[in-house]
This record gives sequence, C-alpha cells and structure tokens, in this order.
Amino acid sequence: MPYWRKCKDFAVKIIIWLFSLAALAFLFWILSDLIIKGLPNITFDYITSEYNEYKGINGIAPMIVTTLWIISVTLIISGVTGVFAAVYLAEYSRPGPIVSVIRFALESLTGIPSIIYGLFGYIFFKSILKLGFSILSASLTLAVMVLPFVIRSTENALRSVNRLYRDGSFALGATKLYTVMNITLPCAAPRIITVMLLTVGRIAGETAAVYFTAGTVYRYPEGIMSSGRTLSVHIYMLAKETGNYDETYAAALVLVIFISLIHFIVNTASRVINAERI
Amino acid sequence: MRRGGQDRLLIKTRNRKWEKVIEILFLLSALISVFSLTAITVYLFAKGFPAIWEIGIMNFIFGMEWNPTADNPSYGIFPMIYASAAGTVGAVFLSVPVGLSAAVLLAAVAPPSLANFLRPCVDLMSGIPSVVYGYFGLTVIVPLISEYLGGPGNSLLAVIVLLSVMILPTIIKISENSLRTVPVEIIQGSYALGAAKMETVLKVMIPAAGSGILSSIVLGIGRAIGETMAVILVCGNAAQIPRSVLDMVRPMTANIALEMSYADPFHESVLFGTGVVLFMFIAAVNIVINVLSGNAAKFKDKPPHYLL
Repeated sequence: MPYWRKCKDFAVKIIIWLFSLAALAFLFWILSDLIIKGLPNITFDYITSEYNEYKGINGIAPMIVTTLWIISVTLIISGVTGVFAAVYLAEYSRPGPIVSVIRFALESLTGIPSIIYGLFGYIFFKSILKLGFSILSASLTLAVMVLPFVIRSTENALRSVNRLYRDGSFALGATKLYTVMNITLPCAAPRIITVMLLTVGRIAGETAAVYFTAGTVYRYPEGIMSSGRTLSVHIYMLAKETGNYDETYAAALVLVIFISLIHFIVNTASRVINAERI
Repeated sequence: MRRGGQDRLLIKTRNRKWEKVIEILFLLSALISVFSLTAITVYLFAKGFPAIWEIGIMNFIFGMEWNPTADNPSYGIFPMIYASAAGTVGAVFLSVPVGLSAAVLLAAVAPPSLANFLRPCVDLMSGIPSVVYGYFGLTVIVPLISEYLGGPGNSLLAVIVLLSVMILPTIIKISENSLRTVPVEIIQGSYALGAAKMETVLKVMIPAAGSGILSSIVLGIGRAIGETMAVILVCGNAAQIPRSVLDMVRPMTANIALEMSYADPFHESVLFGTGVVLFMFIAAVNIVINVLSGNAAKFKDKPPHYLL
C-alpha cells in the first residue's frame, strides 16, 4: 500500500478516536461535576426530612415518596397492558390491516415528545376525566408515554423464546393460552423484567409530562388522588426559582445515582441472560 | 399444589370461549395504542386549533410579536419556530460527526472489550434525565459562554451544545446497529480488492448503512425539536429572532412549559396551538422516518452488490 494511503487511513482513525473521546469526556465531565458538587450535600437528614422554604427545611423525602408512587402506579398500568399487547403482537396476530394500524400507532407514539404527552394528560386526564393534578393523572399520562417502549421490547423478549419449547407444548396438546401462560411468558420473564427496570428509569427521569399532570406541591402524597412533586420536577423548580446550588446538585445526584443503578443492574442481568442462552 | 392449579388451567383453557375472550382482551390492550394516538391528536387539535383560527393561521405562524398579557395582546410564534429550528439544525451539525465517529468506533474499530465498556456509557448518557442536563448547562456551560464569548450566556449556543449532547446516544446506537448489519461479504470483498480498513469503513460500510444512519439523524432531529426541560433552563426565554448564536431565544417547547401555569383560558388555547405546530413538525419527522425504513426494507432483498 502506498505511503500516503497509509497516512490517510491513520488520520481517519485518529479523527474517529478523538471525536469519540470528546463524547466520552463530556459524559465524565457531567458525572464528575455532579459528584463533586452534589455528594458533600447528600446527608441522612437531606434524604429523610421534609421540604419547606419558610421553615428552612430542605429535604427531599416527600419527592422521593411521590416519585416511587408514580413509578409503581405507572408500572402496574403500563406493565399489564404492555405485556398483553405484546403477547397479542407476538403470538396471536396475523399480518393484516389491524396489525399495520397498531404498528403505525406505536411508531408514531414513540416519536411524540414528552411535552405533548403532558399537554394531552393535562386536558384529558386532569380536566376531562376530572382527575385533577394527581398521581393518577401523571401515571396514566406516563403509562401512555412508555407503552410503545414496553410493547416493543416485550415483544422482542417473547420472540426470542426458543420455538422448540412452544412447538413441544403444542405437540403435547396444550392450547395457545396455556402455552403462552406456562411456556412463553416464564421463558421470557427475565428479559421482561429488565424491560420493566428500564421503564422505571425513564419514568424517574421524566419531567415535562409530570409537571403538567401531577403538579408541584411538595407535601407527602396521601394517596393516588393527591398531587405531588417528583424528584425531577423538584430539580426543575429549584433551578428555576431558588438559587440554591447545593440542594439542587444533591437532588440531581440522587436521581442520577438511582438511574445509573438501574442501568448497572440491567447490564449485568442481560449479560447473564445472554450467557445462559449459549 | 401448583401442579394441580396448572392442570385446572389446562382443562379450563380447553374451553374455546374462554380462549377467545382472552384473545380479545389481548387485542384490546394492543388497540390502546391506536386509541391513545387518536385521542392525543383529536384533543390537541380540538383545544389548539380554534385559537389559531381566531388569531389567523398566518398571523399566528408568521407573527413576530409575542405578547399575550398586554392590553392589546399579540400571538405570533415565528421567533419560537425559528429558535426551535435553529437549535435543532445546530445540534445536528455538532452531533452527527461525533455520533457517527463513535458508532464506527463501536462497530468496527475498538477492540470488543473496550466496546463492551463503552456501550453502557452510551446507555447511561441517554438515561441521564433532561432536567439534569439542563441544570448542568445552567450552572456550567452558561457561565463558560458568558465568560469566554460574551453575552448573557443563556443563549442559542447553550441550547445547541446541550441538544447535541442529548441526541448523541440516539445517533450512536442506531447508526452502530445499522453498521453492524452490513453484510460481511461486501466488507470482505472490499478487503479482497486491497482497500484499507478505514477506506472500507468510509466507502463501503457507511454508504451501505446509509438509510439506517439517516434515520438515526432524523430521530435525533425529532428528539431535539421536542426537548423541553433542558432547553428551558438555558435558552434565556426571550421571544426574539436571534442575531447571533449568543442571543437569547425561546423555542416552542419552552414557550408552552413556561406560560402554562399562569395562562387564562384563551392564552392556554394559544399554548396548545403552539403544541399543534410542534406536533406537525414531529409528524413530518415521522413521515420521513417511515419513508427511510421503507427504503431500508427494499434493500434487504437485493443481492449485496446492489449496495455497492
């Protein structure tokens, strides 16, 4: 190979490495900034006490509780309907107009930004169904938002189950429903659980849709119908309305640690799942 | 005990009616997505369009003045459409070279062990909530811009920088996937003809993965237009046409989220109208993606040499 071609090849390689390193550096810049400015301010008191600007208490416990409420309710709603829908698409559906319409809807919903979901939840769940600013409104809105992701990933999980198991079950005389409940779903369960975990991460990080449907009240929620402020909305409110960097950085770090933990678990789990298959 | 329960289910499920009922339940769950999409479209337009009509479509979209709380209010959102478009275009220009390089690195250049370490980093990058990106932008990037480049710091440039980082994972992941699906025959063919590694990447792999890379960019555009919480914290919120990248801007999403809390009913409908315009942009993006993936499906049946 002529010398100049080797040089050109090397130059392109260098550019690729440099650009990639730049992206990686930005990630570590954000993470280290969060850790340096946030970690000293995360104390036991901060995590377990209430928030009240007038009394000068600035904990995040109510926000954590609200976030957990919204995560659980959303997960129940989107988990059940999502898995059912995925079972339909993976096991029952035949190519035809109904399936193409469903797939078109799923693809379109994926592209819609969260603020549009927020507007929809604000007018439909909050105003028309009269659920008000509440955990239920927010959870229903978020459930619609994460549904395409849940359905698509669960469908992939179901399709990755070895065909032989299913055929064996049919050969033994089991019906379709029996096979789905006892063979396909249990075999796909580990993957479906990782899908749910990733969904938890998405719900925890969502701000715009929750801001329009759950409100910004910083009390402990009393139930599914009371309004509340999630951790991510809390970060936004602090950033917008107060100048208190320490508090905000601490809240942001708590949220990022929670999400990184989920990603870490999912990564480890999928490595184990993939290793088992081979 | 458990066995007995399963046997009962087996007997029960032999009942044809029961099977059918459950199948319909599954179908209804799948149809929820269709209902949701319809409901979102209908309610958004029902709430937003009358306001647009009253203001006048031209006055609304091309109006330069945004002053909803004045005695003689004006509702023109052109500066915001401009800001959304400028932020998105800028972000794509910054993000595509970096994202494509990272995708090539992961798919073809880096040793597998390094790639296995880097992939979770990309996932984490897409997992960081947008409000955290926004806060980082507000406290770190905005002061840097104001110190070294001048201006208020809250600016179109800050928006572009943040958006480009936020769409990076989308571009990297989808481009890497489509680079990986390039048939190994044409890569080996390229080596057999004496091409070097990077020549193969640039002249064979990237063109062959072209439609996948294009759809990753279009998806990134969709994310950038719709991004709210990061943008709202760094854009400065002035509804004006920026003269330079250092001027303050207000994209459409920021407009909706900022004023919703204190809007009277008509003002609220106007904000939904802004949502309608945003929705149109997203619909256009979706159509482009559908066309691109249609093209990709066409390639699949062609023999590999068609790609060269």
